[in-house]
Amino acid sequence: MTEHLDDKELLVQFRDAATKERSFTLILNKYQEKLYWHIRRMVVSHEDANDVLQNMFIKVWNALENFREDSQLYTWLYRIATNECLTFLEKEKKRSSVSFSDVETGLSNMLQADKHFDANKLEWKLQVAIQQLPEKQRVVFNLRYYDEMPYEKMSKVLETSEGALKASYHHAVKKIENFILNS
Amino acid sequence: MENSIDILNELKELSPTIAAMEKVNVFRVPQGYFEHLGADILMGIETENGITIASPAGDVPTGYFDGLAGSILAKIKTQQAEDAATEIRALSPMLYSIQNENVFKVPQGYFEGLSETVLNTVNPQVKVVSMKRRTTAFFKYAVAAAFTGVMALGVFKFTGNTNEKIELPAYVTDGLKVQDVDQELAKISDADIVKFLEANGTDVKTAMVAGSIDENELPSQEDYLLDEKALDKYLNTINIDNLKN
Repeated sequence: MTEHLDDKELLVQFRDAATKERSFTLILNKYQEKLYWHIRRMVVSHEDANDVLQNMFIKVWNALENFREDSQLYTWLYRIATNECLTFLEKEKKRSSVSFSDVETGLSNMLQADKHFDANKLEWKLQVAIQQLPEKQRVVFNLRYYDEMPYEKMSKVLETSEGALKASYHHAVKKIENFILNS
Repeated sequence: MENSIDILNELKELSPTIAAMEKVNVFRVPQGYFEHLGADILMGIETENGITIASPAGDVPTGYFDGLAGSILAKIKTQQAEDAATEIRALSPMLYSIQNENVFKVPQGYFEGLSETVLNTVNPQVKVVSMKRRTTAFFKYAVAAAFTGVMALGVFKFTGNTNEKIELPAYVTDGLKVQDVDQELAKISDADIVKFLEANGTDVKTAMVAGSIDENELPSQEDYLLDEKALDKYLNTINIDNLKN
């Protein structure tokens, strides 16, 4: 049976050597799928998402003991996951010496190379449209559209004002709509 | 706090087209991926940090006990103090049998002439290097550091046998006249140092900031993780104008 402990309790257990691994496993079980999908939508391929997720949790293991509870564990994990995604994409850009727009084209190509890709299906069109957005706008759109994250929480994750996030989301929605209607 | 209805209404206002779309997940994950993910991550942490994390009670990988005895025995074997030949013989008789076969070739007579070649490389003909009388600040620094080294070597060498009176060479006695390296360096003006840095294409501000950083005050790794602006904030606390004085 899966235990449902709140984050505060899990953090207390993590700081106790006797229950450290157990509580970490519970944190993993609680957040792994949400974070995986957040990362996957950003990096597209499963292999890359898996690498980013694992690296992210290794960093969490090393930093969790000193985690300051002035932010929620949930927003902190999302912040690390987002930073790891952006770092990964930045590295990819440097590695292949291409511009951001080329990286985005690369992500779109990766989508279109998926054996299940169907250009006539709206859900795939939407994914291609999302990949056309600048990285940070893509993060905002995904967090709002898929994770249904309130601006207040998103503001803590991305350390950006709620007003700026709202504007960013609105721009993203309009761009996606235009892309879908005109493609 | 907003709920999903609020978020949907917001989207309806912005784009009825997107709001009407069904949220379909187009991505797939390998079967059973999330069942093994926790164990994979714990294994990654073990590898990364060189630590062993016990499996949570009751959660044992499939087939774990089947290979347990064999893997423990193999581990014990590798930890036993045994010579390389015995070890490779136990691990792989096939590899042991071909152990002395070298597929790489060296030019004929290579080893006979090797020592001479190396000596010629490390002992080139003595070169006469002319030195300017007026030295730069950094050069003074380097010379002072070299003298410190020479003095240390000299003291080490010539105090080894205290019964013999040894006359020190001139370069050592000259070096010994420098009583206080810091005192000598203090004579070099900041203007000279800045001039030297500028003449050599060094960013003076960066060099001054780098020189003034106290490692104990640097943000920790956790700070970087918690706050991506941690380094910027720290650098902003350094006042470049104060450093010049």
